[in-house]
Amino acid sequence: MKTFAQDIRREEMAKQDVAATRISRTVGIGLTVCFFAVLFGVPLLQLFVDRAKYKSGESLDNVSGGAKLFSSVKDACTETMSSAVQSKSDRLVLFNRLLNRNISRYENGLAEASFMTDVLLPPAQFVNTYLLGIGNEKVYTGSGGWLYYRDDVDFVTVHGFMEPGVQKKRRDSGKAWDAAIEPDPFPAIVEFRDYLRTKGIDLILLPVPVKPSVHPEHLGWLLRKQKEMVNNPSAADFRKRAGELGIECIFLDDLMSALKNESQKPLYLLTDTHWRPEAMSAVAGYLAGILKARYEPEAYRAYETLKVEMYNEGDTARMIKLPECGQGYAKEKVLIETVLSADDQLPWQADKRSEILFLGDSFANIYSQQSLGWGMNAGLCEQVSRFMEAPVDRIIRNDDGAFATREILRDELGADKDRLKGKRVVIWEFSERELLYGNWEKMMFESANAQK
Amino acid sequence: MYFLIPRRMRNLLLVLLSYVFYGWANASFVLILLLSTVIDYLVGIALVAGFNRGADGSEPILDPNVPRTRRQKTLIIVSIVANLSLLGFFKYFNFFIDNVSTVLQAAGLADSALDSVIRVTLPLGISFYTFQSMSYTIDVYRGYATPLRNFIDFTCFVSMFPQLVAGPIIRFKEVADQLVNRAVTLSKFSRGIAFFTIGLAKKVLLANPCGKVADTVFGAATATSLDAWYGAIAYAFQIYFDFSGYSDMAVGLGLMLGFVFAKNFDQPYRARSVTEFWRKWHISLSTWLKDYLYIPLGGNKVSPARTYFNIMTVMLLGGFWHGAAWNFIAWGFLHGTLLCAERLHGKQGFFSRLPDPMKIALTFIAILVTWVFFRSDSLSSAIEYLGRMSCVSGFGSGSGLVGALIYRPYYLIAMAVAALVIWRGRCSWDWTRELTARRSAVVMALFLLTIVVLSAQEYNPFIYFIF
Repeated sequence: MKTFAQDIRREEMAKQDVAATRISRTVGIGLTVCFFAVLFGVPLLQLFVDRAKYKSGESLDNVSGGAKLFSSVKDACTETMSSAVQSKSDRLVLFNRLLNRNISRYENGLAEASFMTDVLLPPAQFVNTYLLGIGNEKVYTGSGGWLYYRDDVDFVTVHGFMEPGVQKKRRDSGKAWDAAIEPDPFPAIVEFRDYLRTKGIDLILLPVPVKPSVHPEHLGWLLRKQKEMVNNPSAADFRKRAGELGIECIFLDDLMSALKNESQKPLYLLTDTHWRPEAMSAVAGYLAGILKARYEPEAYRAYETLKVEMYNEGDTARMIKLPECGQGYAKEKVLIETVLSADDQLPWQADKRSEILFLGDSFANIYSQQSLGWGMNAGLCEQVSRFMEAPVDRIIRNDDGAFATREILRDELGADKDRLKGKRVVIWEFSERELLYGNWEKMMFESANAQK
Repeated sequence: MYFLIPRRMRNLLLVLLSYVFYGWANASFVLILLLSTVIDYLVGIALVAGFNRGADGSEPILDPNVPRTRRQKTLIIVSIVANLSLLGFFKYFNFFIDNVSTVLQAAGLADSALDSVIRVTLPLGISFYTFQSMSYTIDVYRGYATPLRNFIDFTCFVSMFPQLVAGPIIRFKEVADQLVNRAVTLSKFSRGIAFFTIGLAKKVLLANPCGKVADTVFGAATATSLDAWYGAIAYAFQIYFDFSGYSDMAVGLGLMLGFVFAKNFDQPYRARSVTEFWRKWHISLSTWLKDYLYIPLGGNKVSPARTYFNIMTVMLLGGFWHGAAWNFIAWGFLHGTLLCAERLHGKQGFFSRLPDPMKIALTFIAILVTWVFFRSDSLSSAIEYLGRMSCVSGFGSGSGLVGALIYRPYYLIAMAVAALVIWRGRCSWDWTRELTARRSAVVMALFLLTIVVLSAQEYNPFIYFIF
C-alpha cells in the first residue's frame, strides 16, 4: 500500500520504539501465559462454580452465559413482535430500547452471580474499611464505629434539590428504557393534596431527616465539634414553597435538635440508616399530640407496651460486606416498646376503620416489620397509635417513599378498595433524601378512581 | 480465535467484534457508525475514479501538486459535510434547542422551555470516529494516502474497538500498511500486555479515587478554598489518568492485535508552557486540529493578527468538540488566550527566563484553572467554583462536611501516588521498552491488584466516552 512520503512522524517513531522492545523469550512467554491464565481463568472458574452449584442443587440455573445473552436478544425480539406498536420505525425503536434493557440486565446478572466478586469483595472491603477508611460505594465510615449511607451524606453536601440545574440533570439521567424521573416533588404533592381535599381529607407531610443531618459530628475529625444540624441547601426553599402552596408539613429539625441537646445520646443507630427507638418515640409523641388536638378520635383505645431488648446488625454494616470470619461491626442493642392492645394483649394491628391513614417507608417500618431484624409491633405507627390512644391505618413500603405508598393507594382505589373511606387525615412520611433521589411522578388518582 | 483464523479473515473478525462492542451500549449506534463508514468509503473510491493504477498494480494516488477537479472538490465536501452533520446533529442538537429555548424565554416569546422537542442521545465516541474517518478522505484528497478498495479493511480502520470510543484518533496513514500486513510477535504482544495493564491500573487505581474526590468537591454546595483547590487538582489527576490510561489500553490492545498506534500522551503536566502542553496532551487530537484546521487556515504563515485568529478559532472549535456546552467553549477560549499570550510574550520574555520547575508549576496552575471549566456542569458553576478557589467566598466557608469526606487516607494516598507518577514517574512508553523479569512480575501483580480493586468498585466509565 503506497502512502505519501512524509518526514519521520510520531507513528514511525512508535513503530521504531515497538521494534526496539527488549524482552527475553522466557519472560515473554511467562507474561503471556499468566495474562491468558487470568483472562480465561475467570470465566472458566465461573463456569465451573455455576455447574457445581447446579449439581449440588444450590442453583437451578443451568444456562450458560452465552445462551443467556442469546436469550436476551431473542426476548427483545419476541417482546417487540408481541407489542401493540404498529409502524416499522416504532418497532425498531422499541426493539432497540428493549435490547439495551436486556443487555443491561444481562450484565447486572453476570455481576451478581460473579464468583470472583464473592471471593474478592469481602477482603477488599476489609482493607477499604479498616485500613483506608473509605467504606465502599454505598457507605462512608465515620469515627467511633459510625457508618453513613452515601446517599444520605450526599443529600446534605450536594447542591439543592430544588435548583433547576439539579432537577434538569435528574430529569435527563436514567436509562433510556425506564420512564423518565420526575425530580420536582411539588406537582405530585399538590396533586395528592388536591385529590384528598375532594374527599374532605387533609394531607400532612412528615419528612424525616437523614442521619448525617442530625449527627454530622461522627463523619470525620473535622466535624467532631459540629453541634448544629446540617441540611440540603434547598431545605429552606422547600419549606417556603410548601407554605406558599398551602401544603402542611411537620418538620422535625427543631425536635431532633432539642432532643439531641437534652439527651446527649445518639438519636440514630450507629450502623444503620434509621433512627433509634427513643427518637422515633419522641417523634411519635409529638405527632400524636398534633393529631389528637386536631382530630379528636371518635373512640379511644387503650394500649400497653412491652419492653424488649433487640440486637441487630445495621443495614449499612451489611452494605459494607465485610468478611464473615472477621470482626465486623458489633451488633447494636436497642430497647423497643412493643405495643399491645390493652384489651386482649394481642400485638398492635393497623385498623382500616381508623380516621388516620399513615403512608410510610422504612422509617415507619423499622421496629415494626420483623424481617428488618429490629423487632416487631414497635414501629412509628404503633407508637402514634399508643400515644393517641386510637387506632391508625397504614400503608408502608420500605424504600421509594416518594411514590411507592401513593402507588399502592392508587392501585387499591382503582381496585375498588376504598382505603380512604372514613379518613380525615393522611400522614405521608418519607425520608428527606427522597427529595433529592425520589421519583415524584404524579399518580393520576382521578383516573384510577374513574376506572372503578 | 483471532490467532487461529487465517490472516485475511482477521480484519473481518475485528469488524464483527468491534460492532458488537460498539452496539453493546446501544444497538442503534452501529447504524450511525456504519453510515459514516459507508459514506467515506465511497468518497475515497470515487476520489480516484478514472485514475490508473500504479505500474505495480497499486491503487492510484492523487498528485498533491495537481489541482483537484470540481467533482473531487464536491466529493470531499460531501464527506466533510456528512460527517460534520452527523456530529452536529447528534452532539449539538440538544445544545441548540436549549439555547434557542433560553433566548425565546428571555424575549418573552415562550412561556416554558421547549420540552416537547425531541432530545437526541449522543452516540458513544462519535466525535472520535467522525474525525478519524474524515482524516481518511482528506488525506486521499490531498494525495497523502491511497484509498482502500477493500470495504472490510476500511471498516476495520474506522471501527477498531481498542480506539473506537475514546481514541486515540488514528490517521489512516498510520495503519494503512498494518491493515493488510501486520505481524504479532512475542515481544509486541508482551509489550501490549504491559501497556494494557498500566492503562487499566491508571484508571482503576488512580483515576477512580481522584475522581471520587473531584466529584465530591465539584458536586458540593459549599466547600472551603482548600477543598476547592484539592478538588481541582484531583480532577486534573483524574482526567489525565483516565484518558492516558484508556490510551495506554488502546495501544496495548492494538499491539496484541498487531497494530502499532502512536503515543497520545507524553507527560503533559511536565510541560513548561501551555504551548508545550498541547504537544503532550491528547496528541492525536491536537495534531488532527493542526493538520486539518490550523494549517489550512494559514497556520502561522500569515500575519500575526491572522495567526492569533487561527489559534483562537482552533481552540474554540476544539473546546466545542469536547462538549456541547458553554463551559467547554470557555475552556477552549481560555486555552486559545493562553496560547496567544505565550506567542505574544515570545521566547525572550520574563516567563521564559524562569527556572523550569517554576514554569512547570505555573503552567500546571494555568491548566488547572481551565480544567475547572471542563469539569463544571455549566459556565456559572465554573465561575462559582473559581470564586471558591480564589478565596473570594472566604477561606473558611463551607460546613466542613466536604472536608470530612475527601481527606481520608485512601484518597490522600491516591493523590500522593498520582502526583509522584506524574512528576517523577516514567512514561509508559519508556517503562515498557525493556521488560525484565522483575518488570513483568510487576505488570502481573498490577493486573491482579487492579482486578481485585475492580471487584470492589462500581461501574466507572471512562470520562472521554462522553465525547
